[in-house]
Amino acid sequence: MSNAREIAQLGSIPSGRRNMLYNGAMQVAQRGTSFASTSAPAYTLDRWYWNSQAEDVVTIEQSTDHPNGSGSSLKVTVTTADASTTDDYADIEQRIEGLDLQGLLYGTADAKSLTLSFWVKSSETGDMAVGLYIPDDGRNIGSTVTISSASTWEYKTVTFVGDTTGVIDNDSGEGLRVWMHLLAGSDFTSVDNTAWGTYAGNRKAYGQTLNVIGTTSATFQLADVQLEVGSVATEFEHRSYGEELALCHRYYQNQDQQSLMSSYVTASGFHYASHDLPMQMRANPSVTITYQGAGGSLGTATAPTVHAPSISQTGFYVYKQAGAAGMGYTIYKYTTDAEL
Amino acid sequence: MTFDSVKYYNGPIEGTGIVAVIGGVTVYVPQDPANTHYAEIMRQVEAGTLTIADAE
Repeated sequence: MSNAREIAQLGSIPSGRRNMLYNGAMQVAQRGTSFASTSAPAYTLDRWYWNSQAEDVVTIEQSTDHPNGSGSSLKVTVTTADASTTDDYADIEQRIEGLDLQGLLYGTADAKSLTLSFWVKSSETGDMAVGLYIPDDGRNIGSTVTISSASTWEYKTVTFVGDTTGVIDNDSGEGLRVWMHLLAGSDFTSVDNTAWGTYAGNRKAYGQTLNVIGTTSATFQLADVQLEVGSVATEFEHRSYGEELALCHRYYQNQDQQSLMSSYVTASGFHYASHDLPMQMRANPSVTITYQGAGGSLGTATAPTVHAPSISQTGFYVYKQAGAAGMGYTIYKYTTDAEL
Repeated sequence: MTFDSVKYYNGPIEGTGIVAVIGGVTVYVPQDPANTHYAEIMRQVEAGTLTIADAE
C-alpha cells in the first residue's frame, strides 16, 4: 500500500476507542466458563446472549481455541439437535445501551455506517445472516457472510449503512442489537432485509442457509468480534482484561469473594449489612445471594434477605433475623444483574 | 423468560419487595422498569400469564 493511500485510509478511521461491543475478545466470564444443557435464552460469557427459540440443547463455553493460537472464543456445541426448524431460530447477540450510541446520529441524514468484523469457525457451512436491530423504532438491517470451509477459522466483515430514519433513544435502555444466526427457519428468511426497514419476523435473517442447530455434535465458534464506526474493518482492538471487566460490571457483577455480616443483637433482632457496588450499574439490578456459612446467633443455615427497596444502581443492603441474643455471623456471595 | 414463582415480600423495614425464582435460583427484583426481570414480570402480568403472589 502506498504511503498516500495508507494516510488517506487512516484519515477515514475514527481515532480513540473503536470497538463498540463489550467483551469482543470473549475473555470475561463472570457467570462461568461453561454452560451445559442450555435450552433457553440466557447470558453466557459476559454481554453475549444466547437467544434460541428452537428445541435445541447446547453447551456454550469459553474455549481456548482462537484463530491466533492464543486467546478465547465463544464455542457452541449442539448436544440435542432441533429436528423441525421452520419456525425456529437461534442466534448469538449483543445488546448495546442507547447512551453509548448517540454518536451514530441515527435518524438524521448524517447517520454513520457501522462495520462488524469477527472470526468464525463452524463445523457446518453455509450463509450466515448477521444484522442490526433498533428496538426503540422496531427497525432492522441484515446481510450474510459465507462460511465456506468446515471447522476452519475464517475472518468476516460486513458494513451496514447508517439508518437515517430510525432513532436510538438517548437512554439506558437497549439501543441496538447485533445478532449472528446459527439457525433461522423459513419463517425468518423470506423478506429481503439488506436495507433498513420496519422489522418483521420474516426479515430477521434473510439469506440464512447455515444450520448449526440441526446436527448433534455440531460446533460453532466466534472470536474477536468488533463493531466500529465507518466502512473499514480495522484490526481487532485489544483492551486490558481489567478494563473490559470494569466495562462489563455496568451490566453484571459477580462478587465471588465471601461477604460477611457480623454483629451483636438481641434475641429475634435483625442483623444488617450494606454493599456498595464497585461500578454504577445500568439500572437497579436484580440480586441473588448464595449462602456460604453461619454461626452464633445467626447460625441458621440460610442466606440473608435482600431489602428490595434498598436496591439502587450503586448498592443494596441485606438483613437476617437472629435466632438468639449474642454475636453472630453469616457468610455469603452475591451477584447483581442489570443486563439489557 | 420463565418464572418458577414470583411474590411480594415485606421486610423489617418499610417497603415491599419482589422475589422471583428463576430456574431454581432466588432473585430479588427491584421495582424498576429499566430492570429486565421486573419489566418481563410486568409484561407477563399484563398479558395475564403471570400473577405476583401476595406477601405472606
